[in-house]
Amino acid sequence: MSALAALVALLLALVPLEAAAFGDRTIVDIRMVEIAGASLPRPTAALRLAWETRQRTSVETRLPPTSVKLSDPKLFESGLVYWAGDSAFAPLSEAEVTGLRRFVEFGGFVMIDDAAPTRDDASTGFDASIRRELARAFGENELRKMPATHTVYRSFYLLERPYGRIAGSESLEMIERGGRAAVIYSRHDLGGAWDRDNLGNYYHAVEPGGDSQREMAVRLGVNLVLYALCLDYKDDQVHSPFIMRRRAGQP
Amino acid sequence: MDGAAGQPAWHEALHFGNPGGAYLGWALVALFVALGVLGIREALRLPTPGKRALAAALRCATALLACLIAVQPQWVEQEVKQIEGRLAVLLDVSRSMAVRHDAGGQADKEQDDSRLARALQRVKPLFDKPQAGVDLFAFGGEAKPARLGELTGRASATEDDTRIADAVRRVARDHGDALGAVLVVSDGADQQVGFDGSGLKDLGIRVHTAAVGQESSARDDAIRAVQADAHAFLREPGLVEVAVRSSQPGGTRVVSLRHEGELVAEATVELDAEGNGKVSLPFTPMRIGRAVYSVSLPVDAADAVPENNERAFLVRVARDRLRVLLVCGSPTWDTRFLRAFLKADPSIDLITFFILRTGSDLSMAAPEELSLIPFPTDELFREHLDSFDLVIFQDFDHGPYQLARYLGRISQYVRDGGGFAMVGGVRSFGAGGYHATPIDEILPVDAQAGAQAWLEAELLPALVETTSGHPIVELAPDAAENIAAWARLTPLIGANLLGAPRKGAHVLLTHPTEKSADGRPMPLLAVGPAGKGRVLALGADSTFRWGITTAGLTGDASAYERFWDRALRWLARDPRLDPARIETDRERYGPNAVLEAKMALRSEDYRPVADRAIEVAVLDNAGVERQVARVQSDVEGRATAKLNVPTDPGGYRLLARRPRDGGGHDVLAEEGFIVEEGGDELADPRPRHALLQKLARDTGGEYFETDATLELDELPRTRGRTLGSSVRAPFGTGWALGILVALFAVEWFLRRAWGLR
Repeated sequence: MSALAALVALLLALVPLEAAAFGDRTIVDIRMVEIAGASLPRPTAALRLAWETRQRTSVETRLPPTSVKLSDPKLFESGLVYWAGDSAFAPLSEAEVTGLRRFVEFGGFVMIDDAAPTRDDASTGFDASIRRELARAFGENELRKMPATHTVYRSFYLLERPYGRIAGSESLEMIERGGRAAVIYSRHDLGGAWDRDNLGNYYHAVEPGGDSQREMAVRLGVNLVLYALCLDYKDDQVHSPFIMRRRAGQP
Repeated sequence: MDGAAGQPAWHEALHFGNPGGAYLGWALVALFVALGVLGIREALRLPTPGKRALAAALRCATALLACLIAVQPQWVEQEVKQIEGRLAVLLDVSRSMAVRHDAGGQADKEQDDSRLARALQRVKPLFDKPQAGVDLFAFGGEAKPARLGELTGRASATEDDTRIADAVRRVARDHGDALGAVLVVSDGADQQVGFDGSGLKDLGIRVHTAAVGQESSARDDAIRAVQADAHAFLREPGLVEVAVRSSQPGGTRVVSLRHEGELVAEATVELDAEGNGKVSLPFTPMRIGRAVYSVSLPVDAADAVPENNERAFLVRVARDRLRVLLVCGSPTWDTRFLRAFLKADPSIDLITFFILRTGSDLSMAAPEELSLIPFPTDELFREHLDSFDLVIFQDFDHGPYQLARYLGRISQYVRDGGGFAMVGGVRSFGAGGYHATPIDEILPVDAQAGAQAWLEAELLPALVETTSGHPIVELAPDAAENIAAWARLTPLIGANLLGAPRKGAHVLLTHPTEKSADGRPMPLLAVGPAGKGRVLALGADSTFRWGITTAGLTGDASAYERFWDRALRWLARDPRLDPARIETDRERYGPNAVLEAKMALRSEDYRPVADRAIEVAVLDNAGVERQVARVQSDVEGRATAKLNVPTDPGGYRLLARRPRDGGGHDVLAEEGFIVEEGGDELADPRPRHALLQKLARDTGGEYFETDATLELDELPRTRGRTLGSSVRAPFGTGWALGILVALFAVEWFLRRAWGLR
């Protein structure tokens, strides 16, 4: 399936895409968060997710995505940031913490991806740093487990649980604001599953493995982008009968 | 109050002048009586009858004198001269006086046999001879000077209220000492709660009363009262409680509820032993605005007052929730923030459709692995379209979904009163293929043809001076502050190419540099009417930048919310955003009553309709014009008009119109009102002669039975004027106090001497 997908993707990439926005500045930009002194563990992850989202859905994504600092006023130009890391980082500046808090309060969505999760879910490295900074920005104990019934698991694809480069925990974590998941935190190395070159060669093996797991990780990424854009759209009453039928295996 | 005019007479009266007030006086009396009793019981213990009698007598005398000093009885003598004054004849012209004099008798269609006609016959002789000092007043809720020749019987009984006490007080106050007496000619069917004929003695004038109308046992069924909430919600059931009265107790009656002539509900009411009953009927308003309903009882051939068998009530119908259909061509930040804003508002019932996948997208999954649902076009745009108050197409092109066949339906929905907004993007207006479609016809601007009909440059929208007071773009009430508020917003990115505004449209924002074909700045935001509906065209897909992006710089995202809140409310015709208002002084009137209308008028661009001729027209339910008054508005667009309401019962619309130069007119505002023949005045029109009798008796006046002839000589019209007075208060002197002390001292001395305490 991956070879077929790669071939189709290659062919599509050669076709000039129809303009679907008033220029690049208004389309969906999966911006990577830049933290001073921290490395970008999956440099092509945002690009792959943007590309997959553009191919699979009607969402027009910016290619290649840009990056932004949490203290930069440009943070508020768009509504989504992708924050990945694989190691501990120094405490954020006050301006960065304030920027993060205000971005979420004014409607922004933060997708956080731990690229080096431990098998036992121990809080070390990036995880410890990110929890520290989220507590600074949003308060202690705000991060909580996302239920399996959350809209994220049906915002485009029907999913049962989170997937990434590693199978990891059966749930994501989130911080809610105004009835929406404003921050979603994955400890599954989503970017590690997406990361690949233009010929379809993946950089990282998935654990425990299989094309299905990688595909599910891509689907979760797409779902996260769709959730950022449509929020609880799939919870609207009009969708319920269709979704329930499909979850029951009916057409 | 007895006595004829002429010689003065002396009047004596006993008063109590205790300075501490009645309560203190009586408390002291009780105390002294108790002390007297105790003293007497003690005196009875003395050994000899002589001592016992003397001690008891002293205690009685002391207590009695103390009581008299405490209450201070006074004899007041007044020299009063009876002076003849004017006679005010108060003729009841309320609508109960239009009822037949003998409601139980046979009706004579040729002859005016109303109570008022009969009253006029009796009053007329008082004015036949040139009499000095007799004035005629007509009264209902209040008394007004009247001329006998202008009162014509049943047709003159037009007042919606009867308040005898208020009328008498008003005449007494206006005439002052010149008034000698009042003659009230009425059926006594007074509407003032609790008034039984007493309470006017303090005026010091005689009130003579002449009864009108036979207290017969004629059959009369009536709607006594109607209680419904003044406000109801669209498509939400409401209840009206109807109180029924019948002169025939027991049994049942059928009450019908109608709206614009159509039967809405029926219910049977059981009458109790006094002929009263209540029943509730349901109704569900299906149109926003003012709705006139009526409740009625069947009219029996023997019903003495058929006019009170029907009553109307008016309900102001509003939305409890705004039903919005949002259709988005693709998930974008603009659609995302607008949906979040709409979802956050509990007063909005939102149905959203995002196009999540197009025909060219490869989802890499079987359909059952996707949460996508079919786009239910037929359901939305044919079956349920009318259930929405507002439809928004946001960056949505109709072509890929074969919606062309529904565009005419959507256009008609708007012309019938729906709201429609097209929000920009590369799938909107001309770029979305809407040029020369039924949607294009209702847009306030021309949707320019062309698949690439947009600009990508950043822009700061420009306010249009003439429409900057429009609520959608009024971010601040002051014009200068409003301009500054718009300047603080983050620039938009890109704009659809929009053509010149259509007739009746108002451009609210323009592109700062781009021009339309007519050379004027290109519209960016325009609004306008389409039939009964309203349409908004916004050629931008980045208003979210007025929220999150502006807030990132200034900390304030309110401009985005205010803009969209006002836009939605305006589209849905929220009455709070109506540019013009007309208000009536009441909601219900009797036939031919005077209505006063006050207007605050602004045109559709929210500028005052200043110094303009304004027509105020009354239209009936069929839309037929029944009355027109012409007034002039002031510089602020305010005006007041008075006109007579029609004589036919029913619901009416009151329109404020601005005449056009070339003929015709523009309707600026409208209001509903009711004309009813029944109402509270006729709910119970039975004569109440006992009230009139009591009124006359209490004030020293004469009471005349219903057929008794009225003669001036029989109507004393003098009132007493005090020439002098004297007061004797024997127990208010120092002597009385001295005697009391002396009595007490003697008693005390003897008691000590005889061995008592």
